[in-house]
Amino acid sequence: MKRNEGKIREALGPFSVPACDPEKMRRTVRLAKAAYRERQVSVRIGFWEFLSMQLRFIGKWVWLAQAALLLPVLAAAGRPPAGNSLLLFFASAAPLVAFLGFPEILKSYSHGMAEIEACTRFSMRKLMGARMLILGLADLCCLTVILAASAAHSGLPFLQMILYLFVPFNCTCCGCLTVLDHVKSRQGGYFCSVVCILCIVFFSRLSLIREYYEAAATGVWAVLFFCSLAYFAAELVRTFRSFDGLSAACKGTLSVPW
Amino acid sequence: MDDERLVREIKSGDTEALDELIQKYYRDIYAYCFRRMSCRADAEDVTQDVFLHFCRNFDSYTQRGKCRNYLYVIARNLCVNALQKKPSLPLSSVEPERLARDDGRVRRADTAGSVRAALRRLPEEQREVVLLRFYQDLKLKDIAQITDSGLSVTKYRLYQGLKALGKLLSKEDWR
Repeated sequence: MKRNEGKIREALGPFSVPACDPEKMRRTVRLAKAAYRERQVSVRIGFWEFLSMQLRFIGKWVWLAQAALLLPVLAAAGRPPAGNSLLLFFASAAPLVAFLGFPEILKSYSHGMAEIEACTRFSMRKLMGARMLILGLADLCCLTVILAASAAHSGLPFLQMILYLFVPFNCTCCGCLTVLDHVKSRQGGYFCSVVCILCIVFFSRLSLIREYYEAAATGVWAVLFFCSLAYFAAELVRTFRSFDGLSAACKGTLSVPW
Repeated sequence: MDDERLVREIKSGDTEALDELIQKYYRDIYAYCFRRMSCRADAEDVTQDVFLHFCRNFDSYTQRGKCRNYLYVIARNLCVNALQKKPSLPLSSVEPERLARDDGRVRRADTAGSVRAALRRLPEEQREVVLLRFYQDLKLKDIAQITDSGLSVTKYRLYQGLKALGKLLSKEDWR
C-alpha cells in the first residue's frame, strides 16, 4: 500500500476544503476562553472539602461555649453524683447544647446577610445545610462526651440516661427549628433563647420530681423520645426546604454542585 | 510550544495558551469536520463546538495521549451527532450531474465531487480511517486511538476502504 500512497493522495486531492473564516476562528477562541473561565467558576468541589470550608465560618464562641459546658462534666467525672444533680445537669445542659448552634444558623439573617449569601457561589440551602450538619455533629459529640463521662458512676441504666439526655435536647431542637422555620430574622434568635429557657425550666423542674425518673416511667420517656425525634426530623426537613424560598428570588445565581 | 506544555499552562489558568492551542488545531479540525459534514457552515459550527466541549470538560482531560487525538475524538463524536440530527439527502440530489455511473463506478474520478461521492459511498468506519489517514495525515496508531479500535482492525479498514474507493474511482492499482 505504501508505494501507492502518492497515487492515492493525488487521486483524493481534488476533494479540497474551502479556507476557514478567520472571523469564525476568532469567535471560537473568544467563546472557548469564556467557556474555560466559566468552567473555572463552576468547578465541582468535594463534599468534605465544602464542609471543611464552611467549618471555618462557624464562630469560635460556639466551640468555646460547648467546651465550657463540657468542663463541669469532665471535672466531675469519676465521682458519684450527689442526689439528683446528674438529672438536673442533664435537664439544663441538653437544651443549652441544642440552643448553642441556633444563633450561628441564624446569623446570616440577624446580620442582614441572607440576600448576599443567597446570591453567592453556593445556594442558601447548601450553606445552611452544611452549617446545620456541622453544628448537629458537634452537638452529638458533646452529648456523647456528657453521656460517657457520667455513665460510669451515675448508677442509672445507660438506656435511661440516653432518654433523659436526648428528650430535652430533642424538644429544644424541635422548638428552635419551629421558630427558625417561621421567623427568619434577628427576632428568631430571641425566640430561640426563650424556647431554650422554657425547656431548661421545664426539665429542671421535672428532674426534681423523682417519680418521673423511675423505671416505671421509662416507657413514657421512650415514647417522648421517639415522638420528639420524629417531629425533629420532620421539622429539620421543613426548615431545610424553607431556605430555598429566599434563593428562589435569586434563580439566576450559579450554584456549585457538591 | 508542544502540546504537553500548552495543556500544562492551560491547566494553570493561562488562556493565552488556550488561544495558541485553538489556533494550532483549528484548521485541521475544521478540515476534518468539513469532509465529514460536506457543508462549510456545519463544519464551522461543529469545529466551534469541538473547542467549546474541550474547554468545558477540560478538568476531565488527562494528558495520556496526544491532545490532537483527543480533539479528533470530540470532533468525530460531534460530527456523528450532527449527522444524525441532520435530515439525510438522497445521493442523487447532492451531485446529480457528476455522478454519471457505469456499473457502479464513478467515471470522472478526477473531480472533487466524484471523490466526495465515492467517499460517501464507503461504510462509515472505512471512510473515517481513509479521511484521517490521507487528509489529516495521521499515523495508523493515532487513528486506532481516535476510532477506539485496534491497530490491525484499523489497517484492515483502511485496506478495505481503499479497495472499495479504488473500485468506485476506477483505480484498480490501489489494492
